[in-house]
Amino acid sequence: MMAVKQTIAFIDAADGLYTVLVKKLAEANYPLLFISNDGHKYQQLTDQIKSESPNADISITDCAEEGCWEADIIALFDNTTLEKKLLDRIRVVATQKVVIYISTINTTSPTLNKAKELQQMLPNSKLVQLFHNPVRLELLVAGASQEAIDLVSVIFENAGFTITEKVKSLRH
Amino acid sequence: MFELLQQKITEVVSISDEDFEFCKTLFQPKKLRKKRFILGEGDVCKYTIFLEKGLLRSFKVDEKGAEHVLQFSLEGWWCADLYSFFTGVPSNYNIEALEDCELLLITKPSWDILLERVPALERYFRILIQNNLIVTQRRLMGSFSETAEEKYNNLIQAFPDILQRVPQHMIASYIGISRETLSRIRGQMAIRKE
Repeated sequence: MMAVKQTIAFIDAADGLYTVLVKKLAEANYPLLFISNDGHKYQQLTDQIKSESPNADISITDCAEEGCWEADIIALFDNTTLEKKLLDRIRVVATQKVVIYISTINTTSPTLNKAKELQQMLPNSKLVQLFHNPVRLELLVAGASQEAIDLVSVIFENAGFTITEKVKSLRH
Repeated sequence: MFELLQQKITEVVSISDEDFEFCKTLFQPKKLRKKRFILGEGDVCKYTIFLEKGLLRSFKVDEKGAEHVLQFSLEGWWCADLYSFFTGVPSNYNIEALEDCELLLITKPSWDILLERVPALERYFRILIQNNLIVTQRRLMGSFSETAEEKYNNLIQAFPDILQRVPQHMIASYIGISRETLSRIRGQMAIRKE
């Protein structure tokens, strides 16, 4: 029996900038769930990943609550609009789960404010920021929970990324 | 989502609404699809699991690849490898969903916080573990002294709908008999009923 791997739900992931993150996790056999109203776009991404990694375990759902309920870890991107309605729907099912907020390392968006806003909206979740270097397979991980930082670091290291820094607080 | 948990707790102890609201913030809701695993052999059992819906089986695979069922867990039951959960030692067994499940998971650190902050739940879990110990001792004694038919009868009395929900080879494994012996017992019981 192989180790049981965490299911990771991606809300609005079909942005070319982040496809490498998703592909690497699928290659490392992490079950993935794409949550989107645009199933067609995600089907193309799924087909592309499965052609390269036939054993990839990927599902698509248009229901954020169902997807986040099934997931062990929930990932959002800094280009995801943090709609109150969406966060209200997933708040209960995200309880005690790690929520990853993903940006690029050289982002110009107000990441810290958005991360704080997200943590306020999901008060019983463990928020982790992941800063991605789009040129290299390098990541910086930040958050208030050491346990959540370590969990996210292990997952992305298993997927072939190098963690360049771990910061024990939310950051800019 | 938390109604069955609240019902099961209040069947045993009184808990205030405020304490139960706090309790809800420490449980991780999780849907688990049929045939997926929540614990794999060699992993540390990170959660104690409350089943809101569905059916889990705990089992071990021996060196020859044969599966040995330790336990079935139904709605309203708790399930974990307690040895692994409390000691952090990797588990010797697997926990698999036999049906689509809705679970509430609690980690050891959250469990510790919960029991410290809500004494009623410390009492609840003490009674739960006490009852589990009695059931385990009786099952162990039964494994020495009961016939296969008695074991089968005890199982269907405890879980009346288990035959509709669990494949026969898993029931045979749980009782500790071969599939053929189970078929023979069921056949003899059917003839006696006629």
